Amino acid sequence: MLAMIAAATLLGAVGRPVTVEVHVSSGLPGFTVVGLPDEACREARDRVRAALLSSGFAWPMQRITVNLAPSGQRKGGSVLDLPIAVGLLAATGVVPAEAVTGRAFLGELGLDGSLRRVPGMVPMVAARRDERCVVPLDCVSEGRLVAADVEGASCLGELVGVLRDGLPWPEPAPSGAPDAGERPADLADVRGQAFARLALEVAAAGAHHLLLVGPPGAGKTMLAHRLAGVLPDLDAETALEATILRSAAGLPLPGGLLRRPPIRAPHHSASLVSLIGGGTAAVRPGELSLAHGGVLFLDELAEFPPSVLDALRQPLEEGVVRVTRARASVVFPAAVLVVAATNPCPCGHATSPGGCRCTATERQRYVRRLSGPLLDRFDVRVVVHRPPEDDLLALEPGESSATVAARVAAARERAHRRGVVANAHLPGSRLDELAPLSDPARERLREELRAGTLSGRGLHRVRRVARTLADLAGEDGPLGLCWVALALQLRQDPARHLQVAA
Amino acid sequence: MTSGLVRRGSGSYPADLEHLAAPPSCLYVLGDLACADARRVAIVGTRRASRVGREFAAELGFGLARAGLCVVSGLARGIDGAAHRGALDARRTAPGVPGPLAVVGSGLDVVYPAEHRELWESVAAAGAVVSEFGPGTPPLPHHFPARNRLIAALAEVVVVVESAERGGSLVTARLALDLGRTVLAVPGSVRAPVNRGTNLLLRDGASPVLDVSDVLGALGLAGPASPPGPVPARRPQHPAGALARRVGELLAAGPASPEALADQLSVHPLALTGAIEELAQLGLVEQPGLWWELTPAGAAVDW
Repeated sequence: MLAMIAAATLLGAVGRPVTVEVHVSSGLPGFTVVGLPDEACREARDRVRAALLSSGFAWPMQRITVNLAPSGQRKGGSVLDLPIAVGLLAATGVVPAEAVTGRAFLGELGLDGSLRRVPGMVPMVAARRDERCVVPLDCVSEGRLVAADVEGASCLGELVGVLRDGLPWPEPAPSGAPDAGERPADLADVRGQAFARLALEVAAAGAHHLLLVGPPGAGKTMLAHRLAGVLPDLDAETALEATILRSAAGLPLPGGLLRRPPIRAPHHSASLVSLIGGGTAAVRPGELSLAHGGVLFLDELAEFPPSVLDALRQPLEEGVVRVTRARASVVFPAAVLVVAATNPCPCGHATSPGGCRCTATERQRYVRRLSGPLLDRFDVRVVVHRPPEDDLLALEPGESSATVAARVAAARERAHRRGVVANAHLPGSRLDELAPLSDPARERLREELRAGTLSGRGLHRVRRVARTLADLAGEDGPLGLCWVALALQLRQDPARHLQVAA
Repeated sequence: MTSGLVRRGSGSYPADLEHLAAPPSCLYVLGDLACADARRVAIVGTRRASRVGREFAAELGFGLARAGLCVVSGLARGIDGAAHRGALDARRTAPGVPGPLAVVGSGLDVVYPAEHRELWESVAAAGAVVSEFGPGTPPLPHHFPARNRLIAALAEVVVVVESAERGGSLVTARLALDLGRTVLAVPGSVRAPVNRGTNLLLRDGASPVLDVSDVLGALGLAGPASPPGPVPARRPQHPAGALARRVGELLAAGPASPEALADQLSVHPLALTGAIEELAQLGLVEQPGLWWELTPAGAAVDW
């Protein structure tokens, strides 16, 4: 009268194997769940009972004990509904014991006996990839991304039909077309804006974080949304990580494996936890991790609370988020390309002399948020201007995303040969070897250092951006003056206009 | 340096203030109000001035002080401060000339803006800083229109150097016109927002100021042995490449960001950067903010 069912729960973005032990014995009728279940897990009792009765099975008037092993770990969520129900059916002899051995069951039950999806199906199936997994029917395609043998059923009755009566597994509905169809908006829509387009290309090719500064209506948001379109497809490993993170956050995966870089654009009122990840009940990946492999777009950068921006700094350096709580600590991948947009001042017009209508105090307060360590993270910073109306009609459509993406892919290929994913990751100690300077370029940088307009850290960043520029043009060898000068031009300092206004 | 209080009706109270509908009942004075005995010209303009504007304001302040006039302004950032600096320079090179007169919108012990402390003290030492607000009064926004009316009343001629379309200096100009003072304006690019206000004044009938002699003329004084501006024939020719010249041409019409330049010229950023580099190496352009503009040397070039 004992059944052991393989299952899994979710911690962060990782599935953890759990064994559900169901014991049915004589005694006072009752139903206990032990093994550190959380609230949703304890409620499984009521759902399982109702689901069994609705599906036409008898509820044993016996003493039922469910243990969730390892019993020291806290288990959360409703994913254990199905294994508990299957365990009960096996323990009471409704389904033969050999039908459930070697299988793992994952899913939530409705009161009518239907099987429902839960967040994190992909990582949980991954944790049980050696067993034959049974999941809700609409999760089968997701499960098959990470495990070979995944079957599904739409309700408990159907599942019993397969396990007891040997009926065939129901066919999942064909999944939607791969997400190639929803390619983001094209760069060809952007007219003019030569510097901003170049900045976008450089950011994509070198994985340089990008800051767009400009007045309202200049097209900063439009540009940022086109960045994902010129990034190369995700490699297999990143695609799987990104898919798992998306699944763990409970977001739909219409096209199966995430092949295109995602773009996430949290609003500036987003809380720290929603950006970084965390939470009390379940540790959930934040926006930063959902953008893994893709673009995190921070519109109105200066409006984000300083605490949130500070919290972003360490993950940006490391490429992972570490969320440590009293009960668990979790690591989420978070290799993102940050694109931020900001007005130069509260009124937004300080990009031209005399254009700004803010008081000096207002601007000082605004720029203080932008300056310093945060600004330093952005290798590429350009001013986006609002093109005159006539130009919008007169200018030729720009290059298409596909053309730019081809150059980006070629530049990344060159970076690969240097042993890094992209030039932004070139180690400072090897810059002399990997990004040597020509004499005029060295002289130019020396001038900037002497004038105090460039810091030591800034120097490294300029060299990396110059390397990317040369890569995009297909040039090897020492960096010419033109690339360094252009890299400097792509490094505007929005804090500088303050000194002018004084 | 002396400080004191001048009551309305006393001998040293500037008589011109009586033209106001509500003259201040007393003036707090830091320095020596004797500088106000000379004929007075106000130089006003935006706090967010371009470099060209500040340099021209300083040039005017210098020239007018050298011509024996008292330069009146508001000690604010931008044009005001530059005008005072110019007048102080004139006094340094020729000690006989009248000191500048500053009218401020806070108590005399509340230096605003704080970075003008040194300038504030220099003006008080050479001329006078006056205020109708008692010691300890903070620089509240509504004090500045009140301050502007004193500047308008104290000046015979008001020169507006740079002003945006809704700038505070236009308020001064309008007050001055109401008091029957002459208002002059310095013309600028029709595209630059910073020149919009002054160009509007010109359209509405203000006389243009191209150099010091225009101001002196408005006062009925002969210009100094006529330096009619730089001699056009001697202007240096444009340097170097064709693209660099077109960049210079565009910048001569007003400051512009690299973005705007690239779009107007329809060139790749790489080519544009090359051209700008070339001009910067020659000292003809500079980047004081998020935009590029011509240096004085660049402005002298015939593009």
